[in-house]
Amino acid sequence: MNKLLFSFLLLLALPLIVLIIIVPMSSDNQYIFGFICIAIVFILGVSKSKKITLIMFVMSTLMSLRYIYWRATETLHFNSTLEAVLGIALFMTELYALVILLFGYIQTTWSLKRTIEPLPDDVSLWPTVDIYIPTYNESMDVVRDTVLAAQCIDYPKDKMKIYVLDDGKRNEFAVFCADAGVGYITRNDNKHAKAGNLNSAMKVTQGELITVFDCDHVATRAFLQATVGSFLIDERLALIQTPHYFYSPDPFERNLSEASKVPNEGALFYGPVQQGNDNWNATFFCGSCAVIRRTALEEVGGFAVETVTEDAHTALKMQRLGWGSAFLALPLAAGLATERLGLHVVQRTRWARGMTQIFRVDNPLFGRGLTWQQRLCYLNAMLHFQYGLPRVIFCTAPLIYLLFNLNIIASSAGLIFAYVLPHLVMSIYINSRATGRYRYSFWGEVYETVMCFHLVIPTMLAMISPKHGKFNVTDKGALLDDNYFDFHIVRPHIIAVSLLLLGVTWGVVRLFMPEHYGANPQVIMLNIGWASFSMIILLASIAVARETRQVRKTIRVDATIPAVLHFASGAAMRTETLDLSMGGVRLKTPDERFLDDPIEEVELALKSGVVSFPVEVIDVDKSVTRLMFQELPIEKRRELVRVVLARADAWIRDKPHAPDRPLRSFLGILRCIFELFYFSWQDRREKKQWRKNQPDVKQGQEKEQII
Amino acid sequence: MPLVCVCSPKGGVGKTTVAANLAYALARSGSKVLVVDFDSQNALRLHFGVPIADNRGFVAQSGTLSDWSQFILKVGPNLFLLPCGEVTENERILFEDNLMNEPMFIQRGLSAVLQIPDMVVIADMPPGRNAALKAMEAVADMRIFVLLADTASLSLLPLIEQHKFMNKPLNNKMGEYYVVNQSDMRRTLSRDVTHFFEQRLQNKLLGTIHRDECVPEANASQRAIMDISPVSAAAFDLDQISKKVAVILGLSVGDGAYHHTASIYSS
Repeated sequence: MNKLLFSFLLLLALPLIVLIIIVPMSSDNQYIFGFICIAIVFILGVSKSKKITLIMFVMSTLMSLRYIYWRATETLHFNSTLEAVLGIALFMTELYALVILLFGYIQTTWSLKRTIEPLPDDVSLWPTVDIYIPTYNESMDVVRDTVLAAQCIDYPKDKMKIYVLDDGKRNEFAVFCADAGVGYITRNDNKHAKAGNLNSAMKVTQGELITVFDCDHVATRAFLQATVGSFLIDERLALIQTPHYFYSPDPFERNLSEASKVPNEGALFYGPVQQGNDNWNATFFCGSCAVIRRTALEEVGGFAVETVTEDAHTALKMQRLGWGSAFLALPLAAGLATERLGLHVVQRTRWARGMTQIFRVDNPLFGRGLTWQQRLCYLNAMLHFQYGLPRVIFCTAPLIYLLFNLNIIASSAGLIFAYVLPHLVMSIYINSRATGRYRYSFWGEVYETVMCFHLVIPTMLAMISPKHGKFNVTDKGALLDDNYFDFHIVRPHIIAVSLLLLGVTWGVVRLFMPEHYGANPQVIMLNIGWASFSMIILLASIAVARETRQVRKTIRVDATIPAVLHFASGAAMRTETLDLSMGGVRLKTPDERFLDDPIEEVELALKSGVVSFPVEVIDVDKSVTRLMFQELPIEKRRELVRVVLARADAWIRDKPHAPDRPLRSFLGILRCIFELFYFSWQDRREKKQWRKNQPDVKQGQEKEQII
Repeated sequence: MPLVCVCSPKGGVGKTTVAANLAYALARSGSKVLVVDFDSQNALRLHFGVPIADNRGFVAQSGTLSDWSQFILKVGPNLFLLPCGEVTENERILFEDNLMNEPMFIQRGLSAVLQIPDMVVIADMPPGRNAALKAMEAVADMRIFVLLADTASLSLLPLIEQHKFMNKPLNNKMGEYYVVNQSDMRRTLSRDVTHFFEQRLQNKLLGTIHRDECVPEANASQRAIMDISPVSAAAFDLDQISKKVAVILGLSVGDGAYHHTASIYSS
């Protein structure tokens, strides 16, 4: 009935909608219309109600459609073939952006905020779970704590089995697994990389549910109890995905001071996007931190091996057979972010390639088994990764007029402005309102611009020939010991900025000498403004390549735990911890005994019992004692993992990010650019000084030799 | 008024140290405390700075004097000591004979003290089975067993629990409690035994005391562990135990607030 009413109302409103989209207006009228709409949106913005957001979505959609309709009908007349090609390319870019924008609206309008389904009191009803930790070449340091944390998960011991799936076939891993008491599985070949690895393990284990943790994803104790309940409630549920949370800073957070203050790159996806997908039963598997039903997996022949993103494709295949998927937006595991921008680019390129492959070999628009909403959600994920070329075009488009004086939009600057302004202002404002807590304005531009040049060719190749290309492993856990600038990654960005700078300079020259060049000042101004915006985003992206040294790798927990220091003399002193990490502990210094009595062990009264750790003293003063744990036996290390990494609430933010303020966010991006120049200058000065000091040292040495 | 009896099925477990430091802790938190030494080793006094040459004590004349309070020494603010004193073999036998055969022997001897309303009396008993312990059954309000975190103590636990060690449970008063002494978390065996005691004794366990070199240091200087090193783990543990004892005895000490923790290890 409701649906019928809705359709009826839609039919009634249709003429009005069409009218708004297609009626042409003079420049002045369009300005007035645009400003009125913006004013309405701003006034409506006072209310925080969900319904108002919905109305805004509709208004923004209409305004954007009006813009694109106008672009399609009024502005695509060209004087030359070259202009036509470039002009149509730009139009396609805008069309792509519009489709992504509208999909985004649809996806985030109705989001499902799932909560934990509690497990029944009767433990015998709980399903058996296999935990897979696939690894290939990652170091033991990375994998060890992942395994120990998995062992700390609160679940009946006879119903949870942990397996390390080692494609590296390393002896030390086999020994460690035996020591820790977890399964160790290898196979004869390494066919189909991670997916193949998981599939081969499926043949030798029997759990009803399968949990996959990438080898750096340390689970919290609550992981299974928070996720498994959903499978008992819904018999057709194939998959529950949880966010990938990173406890180490990603390249953006590390290299841009401002980026550590804004929601990180993954926040939008592992928040509104997947919750939106969930609402349409279209959440897809992200490779790790998920629980999957074995029967569903077996029905689709195990993890998909046709593409390099086996995760999304596996989910798509299961959903085609009518299986459900779910997303629980609680960070229940945490891993290492990619350590360097270079690796980040490699990883994202793989994702983009894989998504493109799925688009080609198993397009969600076609084939059976999906609802149209599911098709759109999956399609959106695939289209999203096509942003490479459109962004490159959008960044560099103003050059066409500024440098070559070619017109690719057949309209006056004033009219363009009149149409584009409400479209842009409204979409930025509404995105900021709807998802601003998960991504601040303009940061998406930075995240994508960093990647865009690198995605063009891989996605194109994958589009043309989806069967090619193999899986590459993302290295993690490495530590950067010096600052450096990764020119290689941002070379195209630097070239683009240089060209834009040239274009802007030339544009300014033309602006001030119109009698010589006869250019339309308004068009020049529009293009200069556009080019400047592109430059800002490009420069911010370049700033990410200034790789900063990583100081501390381990996660530190501010926990006050009763502790006892054991001294060499046998004295035991009571104190408490200030903070705790996998590497060591900081405590209040109890008294001055440390002056003549070395500390040998520290005893921590953990919830699971008292554990005493042998330690080395790093530093003691009258107020703070810093101790480093010595090599720990597995049992003690596991206890430490339980406290430091596996706490149920370890990764849950105390409070969400503040709402987005677009202008403030833009200033933050300007700040990144300022810091790029300022810090680079500082680095250079330091290096110079260092070089200056070098000869002195040499002379000193020579002197000593002479003496 | 309440009488606490500190005892142990075997010697050398630190019973006297626990009794003395418990007294110190209770006294410091405001209660008047009298410690009575029933152990003819006469070692309790050494915890309170009494010179080794000072051999005064109540046992020698306990049979002839009806009130022992004249032997009480004031050893600190709120803190009083009734030392055993030097005893000849005959005097000891006579004392034990009196304990066995005269039902009101202890009550009479301590009557003056027991009438002081807020006075806590802590009796340091001789180790093992003995006459004093038996005589105390009628008088004591609370019995604290001191055990070591080792296998020997572990093996004695069933005897205590089944009252083969003491003839009958304290039926009228606050009951029996335990203290595990010299627990060393660095050693697996000690840790496991401590853990077993915690599991087994639950809230009957007043606490676990760390093995701590500060304890012999304090004993050597005849002072409370707390005074030697306020941050000593053993001092902390004893302080926790004293707070728990105060709650069980219903003493209103300090601000009266007590945060119940079954043991330091499950806090």
